[in-house]
Amino acid sequence: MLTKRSSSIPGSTRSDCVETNTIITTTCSSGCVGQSENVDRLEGMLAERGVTRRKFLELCAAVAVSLGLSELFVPTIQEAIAESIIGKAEGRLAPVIWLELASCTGCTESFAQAGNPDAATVVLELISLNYSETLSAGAGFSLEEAKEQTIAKGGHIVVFEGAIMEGWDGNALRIANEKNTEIVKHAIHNAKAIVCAGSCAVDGGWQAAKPNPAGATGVQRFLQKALAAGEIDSIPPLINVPTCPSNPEHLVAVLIDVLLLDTLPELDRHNKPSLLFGQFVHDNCPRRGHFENGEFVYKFGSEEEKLGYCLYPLGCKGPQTKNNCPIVRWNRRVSWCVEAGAPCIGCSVSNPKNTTHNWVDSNAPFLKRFRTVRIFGYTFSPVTLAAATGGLVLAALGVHGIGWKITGRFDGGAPFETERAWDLKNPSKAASRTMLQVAAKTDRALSAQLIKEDSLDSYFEGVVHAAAKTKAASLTKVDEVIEAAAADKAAKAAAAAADAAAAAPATSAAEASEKVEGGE
Amino acid sequence: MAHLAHYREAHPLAYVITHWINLISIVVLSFTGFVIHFPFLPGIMGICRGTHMFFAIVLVGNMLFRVLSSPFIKSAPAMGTREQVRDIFSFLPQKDNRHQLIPWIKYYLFFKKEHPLSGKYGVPQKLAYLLVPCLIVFIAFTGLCLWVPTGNWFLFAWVTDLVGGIHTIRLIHYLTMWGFLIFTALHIYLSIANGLAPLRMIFFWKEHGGKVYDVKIRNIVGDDPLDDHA
Repeated sequence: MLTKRSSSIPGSTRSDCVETNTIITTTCSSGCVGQSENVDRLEGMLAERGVTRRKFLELCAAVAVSLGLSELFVPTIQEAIAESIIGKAEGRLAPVIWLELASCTGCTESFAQAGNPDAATVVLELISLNYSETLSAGAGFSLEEAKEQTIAKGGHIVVFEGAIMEGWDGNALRIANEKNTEIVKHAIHNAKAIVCAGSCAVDGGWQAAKPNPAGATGVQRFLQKALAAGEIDSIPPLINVPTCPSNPEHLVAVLIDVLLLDTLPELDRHNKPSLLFGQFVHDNCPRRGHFENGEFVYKFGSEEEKLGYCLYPLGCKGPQTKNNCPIVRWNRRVSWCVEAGAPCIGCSVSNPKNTTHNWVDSNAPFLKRFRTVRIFGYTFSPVTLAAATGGLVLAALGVHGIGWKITGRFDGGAPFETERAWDLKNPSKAASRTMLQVAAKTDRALSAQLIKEDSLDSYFEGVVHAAAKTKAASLTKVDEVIEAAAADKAAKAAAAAADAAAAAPATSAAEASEKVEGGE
Repeated sequence: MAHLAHYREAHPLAYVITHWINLISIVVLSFTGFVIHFPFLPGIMGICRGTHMFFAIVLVGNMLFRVLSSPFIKSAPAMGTREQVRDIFSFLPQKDNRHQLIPWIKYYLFFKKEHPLSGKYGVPQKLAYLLVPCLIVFIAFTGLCLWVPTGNWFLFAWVTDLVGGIHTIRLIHYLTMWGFLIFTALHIYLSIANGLAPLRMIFFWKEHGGKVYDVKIRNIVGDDPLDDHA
């Protein structure tokens, strides 16, 4: 069973580890007397394949860096690799099966480097690649048989390259006359770990980009769905290693971590190794100084490009892409995209939980600062969209302004309505007190309520209060209002009389109501 | 002249100041945001990033003060009156505005000739103003998803994952800024459309005369030319 690194290495803290390994280094530096028999045997095997001891040590150092370990760990890794490879020869090593699903074989090519095999390739070949469509020497039935035996035995590691295609019930991709969906579910049975190499295996990658008719999806999401549907019993520990193609250094580091050191690297919420995908490309970019200075390339072939300025205006996705490309680099640490003068296109952007967040849909067009927006199947540049909306609003305001001018509203708007339109229709529920008063004249219940609330008086006082407060030169409405208030007072008295009469027989009530009307 | 008198009671000094801070912050944030989006002035790119963060904090702080102080600071609930109530009541539903949304829309679309009666803010105006703090919270949240020191915090990382990654968050942040720009365009247009006098009030705290509104009657009761203040 795999364990987290912290518990797999003697001593639980980093300082303990360093201490342990310092001892090894010390013995090594004194003429490498302590080098084990296994390492010697491995170096012999490598030499036969044209890989020098120096190259092998360089690989071990690169692995240490990729794993986030100090170079003091080089002898440990050297030992582990040697032991595993010898162990494999003696049948003690977990075998690897490498399954290519819907892929361009770019990830395989990326670390196979057919024309220029190096330490990493040779080591990976040596370890225990029991099945690989591209790399295995065997083919056909015998190779399929070897795969079956490996799966049946269990404890193997499955490397997935490429997307799973769920389209047409999994018939979008058939390998050896079997649906790819079935192959995946079968291959992970009893596996020790799953490594999803490359963005396609992580979340469908570019194959999941819209419109995605073949239903490309990532391994993690597919397995989680299968688990929920009860089609598989469990999901072995899964490590996502995106990037298009997968960086061989990443792959070697993860495989060595799982296979040889028998640990699971520290993973983030996307099951990606935090050490590899924890920081932005931008954070470690060699052109970062130019970014800080405000020195940018605006056009390919320009003077600024020659000077090696920052590629941000050319749509570089480095500031939004998490990967350690600037540190690990590519092609055996020769160079990498931005160093070679190309803006980062964010090929490791991926979300194993959501296929639609694949790196192409997230980043295209690659040489623009923004991705496109899709509305009802149409694509727009967000800048154009926003500017067009803004322009439309301004144009509408311009047209509106002409109307506003024609109707003479610019000097403070049109004259106020005397009463709210709704109030005129529903006087008994009016917000305006004046309307309420009008209503009270014909609505006895409302009148009674207003009397009860004593709001007839407060209404009157309110008018006087407002007049006093504002020191108004002319309160045009006041006369009307006071008149109305006087009428209200009379109505109040009449209503009071009506209430008194309400206790009396119905005939006198009718008389009282007549009185109220007469009172106006 | 159809407008109501504008008294200082409508906009207490504290809110004249917050309005200034909002204005400056939104202008600076939009400008620096555009530079960060595309460095058309490369030399000030670095300055713009720092300034953007600074004014983002100012804008959020200012918004928090504006919202949280509204139950305590008093202001007039309507134009044309010196009566004051706690400011928050100007942002809650008011009887003065009841059933006035449709008349307001009709008025703006020239289907109604008379200016609707209302509280301090007309119905569409009040809705627009209530939207602003929501916009600020939203744009600040997306900003914190993008800002490296906070982008990895669980909540921000979770939302970033939900909407489709940092690129999409950038897009949302950018389009929300256009929401501010469009709001500002409408806001400036409508304030000019209603005469320059209200601008003198909100910017320079200068009163001017006009019609008098009684908050008890909820209607216009007269005129106040405000000679002694002129």
